[in-house]
Amino acid sequence: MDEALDSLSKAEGVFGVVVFDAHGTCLANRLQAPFEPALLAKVVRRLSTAFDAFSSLEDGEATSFSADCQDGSILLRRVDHCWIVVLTYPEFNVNTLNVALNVAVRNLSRGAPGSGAQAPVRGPADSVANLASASPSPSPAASAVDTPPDALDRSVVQQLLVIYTDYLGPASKLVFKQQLATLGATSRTLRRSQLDNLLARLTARIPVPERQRQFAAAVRECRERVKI
Amino acid sequence: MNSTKPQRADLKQILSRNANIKAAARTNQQGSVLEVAGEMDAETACAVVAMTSQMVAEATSEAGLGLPSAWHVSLGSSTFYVVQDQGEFLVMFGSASRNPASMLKTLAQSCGG
Repeated sequence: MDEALDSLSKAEGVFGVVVFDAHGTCLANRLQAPFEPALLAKVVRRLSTAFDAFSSLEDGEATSFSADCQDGSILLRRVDHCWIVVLTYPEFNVNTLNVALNVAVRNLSRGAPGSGAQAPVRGPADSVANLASASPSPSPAASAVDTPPDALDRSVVQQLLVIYTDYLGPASKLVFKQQLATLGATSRTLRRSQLDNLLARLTARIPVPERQRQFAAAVRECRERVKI
Repeated sequence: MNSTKPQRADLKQILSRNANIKAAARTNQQGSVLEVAGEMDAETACAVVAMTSQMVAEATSEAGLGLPSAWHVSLGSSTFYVVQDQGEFLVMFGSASRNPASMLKTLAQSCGG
């Protein structure tokens, strides 16, 4: 996903790119201040309401949107259940951007959870996305990361991801990775003292309260089992 | 005084110049149909555009881009294009396009935008 977004964000006239899942969670972004994913999540929510009205005219869900405005343009493209949002300056090459978007869409769909193929993941900081690959030995780049003395065992983090997948579904890996990154951690460097914070963040992103409670119970059981 | 009033877009001309566009309608901001060319449920389409234009304007303003002059929504095999024209909306209905953002720019230009 990183490469696809990097390439899209470098297209002529583009100043921001962000990817949201179906729940409006930011999966990745290339935004500069003052733009924030939370602000654009609100924008996408508002536009989604408009799309629903258009769905009453024609069968099917909205797959793309663009608006040319006084100070720039916004383009949205659906990939599976995610939205790619692109912000541009008033002057941009619409054909170049369309090609870059098509490439990003193809790359993201190839790497989308549940598509059977994961996108290549870059660097040790993204190691959670590699958890499912269950590689027996860490890559040289990963072993170079300084592991804090109070870091949780990586197998515990892997177990938590497996549990989380049961309650959030296919987006779990990306959300898990994003929340680890927010704490400045990876699956190898997550400290014991950060665990409660991580779990609270993960729980908040499960949309149904009942599922949140079930997730909390499953985590409690896991923590008792592994004594953390 | 010799003042020139901007010409309104000719809907039939838009259809003849853009093979992808099947129908076009002009509506006021309340969603009342003022003019139609081609086959479409103009009453409903114009009502939806009038209803959603405010949401789109709020969204683009919130994103810091200002008010929209033209926008499109693609759904499956259809695309709706909306162009603001002298306080009214031109609503164009077409088939799916490989590059709807480019089509939108072309239409906005043909409408004098």
